Amino acid sequence: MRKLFLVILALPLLCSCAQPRVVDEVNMSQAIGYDILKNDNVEGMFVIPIFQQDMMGKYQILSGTSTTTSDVQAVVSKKADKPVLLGQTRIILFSEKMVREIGMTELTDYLYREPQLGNRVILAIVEGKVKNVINSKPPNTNVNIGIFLSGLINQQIKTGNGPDTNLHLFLGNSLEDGGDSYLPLFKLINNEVSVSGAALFHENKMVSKVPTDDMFIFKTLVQHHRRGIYKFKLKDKQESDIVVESIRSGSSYEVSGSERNPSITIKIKIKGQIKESMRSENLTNRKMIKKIEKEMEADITKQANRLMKDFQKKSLDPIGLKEKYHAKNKKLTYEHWKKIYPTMDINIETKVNIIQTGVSE
Amino acid sequence: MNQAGVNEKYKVSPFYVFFLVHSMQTGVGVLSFQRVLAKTTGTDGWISILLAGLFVHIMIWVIYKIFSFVPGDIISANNQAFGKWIGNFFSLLFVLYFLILGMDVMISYINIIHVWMFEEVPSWAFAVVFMVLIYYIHTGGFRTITGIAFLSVLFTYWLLFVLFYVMKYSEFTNLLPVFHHTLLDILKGTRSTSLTLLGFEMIVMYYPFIKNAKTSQKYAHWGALTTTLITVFVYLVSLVFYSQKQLELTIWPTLSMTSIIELPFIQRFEYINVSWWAIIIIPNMTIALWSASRGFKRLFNVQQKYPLWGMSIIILLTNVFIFDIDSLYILNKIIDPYGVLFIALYLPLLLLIIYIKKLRKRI
Repeated sequence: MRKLFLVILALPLLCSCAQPRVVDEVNMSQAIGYDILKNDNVEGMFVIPIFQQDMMGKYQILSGTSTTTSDVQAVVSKKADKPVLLGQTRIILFSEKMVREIGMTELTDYLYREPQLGNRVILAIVEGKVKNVINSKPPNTNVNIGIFLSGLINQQIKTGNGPDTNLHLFLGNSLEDGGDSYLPLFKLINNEVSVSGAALFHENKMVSKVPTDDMFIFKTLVQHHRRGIYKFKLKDKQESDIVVESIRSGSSYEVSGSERNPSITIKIKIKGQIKESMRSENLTNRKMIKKIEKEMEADITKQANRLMKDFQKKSLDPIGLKEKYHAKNKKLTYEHWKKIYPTMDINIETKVNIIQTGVSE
Repeated sequence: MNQAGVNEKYKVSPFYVFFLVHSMQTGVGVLSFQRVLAKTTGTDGWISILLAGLFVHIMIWVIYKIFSFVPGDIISANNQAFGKWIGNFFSLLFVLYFLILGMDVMISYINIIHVWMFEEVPSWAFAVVFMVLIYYIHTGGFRTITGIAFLSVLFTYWLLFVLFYVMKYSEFTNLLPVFHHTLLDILKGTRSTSLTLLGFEMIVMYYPFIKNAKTSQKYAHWGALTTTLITVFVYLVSLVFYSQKQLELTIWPTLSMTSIIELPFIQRFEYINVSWWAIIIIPNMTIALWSASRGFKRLFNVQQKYPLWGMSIIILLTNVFIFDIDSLYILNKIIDPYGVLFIALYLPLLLLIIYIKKLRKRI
């Protein structure tokens, strides 16, 4: 009993050791943005919610300038009444100019090293200035711009054409030899923030973009997904638009092991339903459905071929074909891959299955 | 005469050896073994783990074989094999090894708390908490320690299911290609899993505390097998979750992995994981320090609490004066390779000598 008493006595002594971090006594950043300035300095912006009664959705933006991304936090803290902490950061924005000049390995080193930041943080690239995006007002005034932007990306991942992304997934791809990866892109259009495709990285720097129109195919190439919308034109006189919503789609890869002429066959499979058909023809007719399937297959194959040709020309590999090739060919080195990739035969086979046409005829 | 003789009422059922072996083996090692293993063997790392597991089984067999000739603990076995002086010297080495292992586990965990949660709390504060707890458990005797080991396994096995959540982000092509490392690489990898699988050798101290000790061998094997399979599972999940280069970059892959988890009521799951890991660590430290103090008691005929106090002071002073990463560097160097080599070479040698002595007596 006496021993137990001693143990209990020791507890209050130890409770005061750690620094408490109470929510309204710190500046809890929910989004961070980085711009690069003309003199190569970095301007950082922190979106910080204000916790007060009747102040729902109010937030402040603290910004500071320094030479490195991590030092900005200290610079900003110098100007604030409470320290800036990163534990609740959902999204980190970089300007396009910045990631074209500075490698992502350097930029993400701090983010991955910092235990306060989780692996689930979203990284995104902004076309133009990050400052303008961060300073724009979200249409929903109940949330701050940080939560709004991360919500935007997340709903695009779940129901739209945006591929899965977060710090972990990005680093997994970009740390490999070649450093090919992708991140979502934002753009300010008429003072409204909207996703505008994907930024592509090679050797850790942004080199190219995938426009929004190709995002459905890009997502299908990168991962299996359940939602996503694809629009195409039927190739007949009327050229009517057909919109198909995917139910379950994805691609599989077949790698030929031959050394002489390496080739990869990409098999895209799409199960979908007709969302809209700009045409008065009867859709319950199986013949028409078959026709739509055929046309959509042809269209996707064409678009995917164009996309892949473009990747090969720029020797980009955002899909991770290298790993798939390496899985079959043990001796592959990066140097060898760089040689064979641009001229490699990449065949695309598409299979579209339309399983529903909605509740109307 | 036999000092190793233990009163029947202090003994535990043979079944509990499973928990003693398994809980002692899983500790801080399983948080961080992937990085080094991935560097040497990459996708073939699981073969290394299986080989290491096989080796552990052989060592367990060796230990039980030794005690089938010389019932008691390692100290009586040493004395029988080498005589009093040399035997005691080796016993002292064992005591030292147990102390270093216990210290290594504790300081590794303190290091993790420092990096992940409370960087500003001094090491000795954590060490004090742990030492008080360990001392308290020790006063309950070996049965209490067994109970703690049992509870630790019971309270923490759910962490395995967390890995299934993580598998949402898996890329299974990372597992391929298989068998593209040389045998030498795979053997090197086996060495780097040692800290994960060490801990079974504590049997040499608590063997006399097991009822019908001979029947407990199968439980010891089951314990080691469970640890091996869990380690393989953790490694495979890490492989599909991380890309190769990322795994080589991450110091605690098992912890970083859980930071991807988001639950409706908690946003940052890794903090739960780090804290909960204390329950896994406690039997590690307790059994190791118990073995060390028990050995000391048997060697010098003192009450067990005195060496425990001495060791607590040593550990505290280490934590006060040496920064955790620096002391870890030295401790890890001692355990791997010297500690591992000591266990791996000495135990079979001991078996051989005892076997030869037995044969001669018969002739």
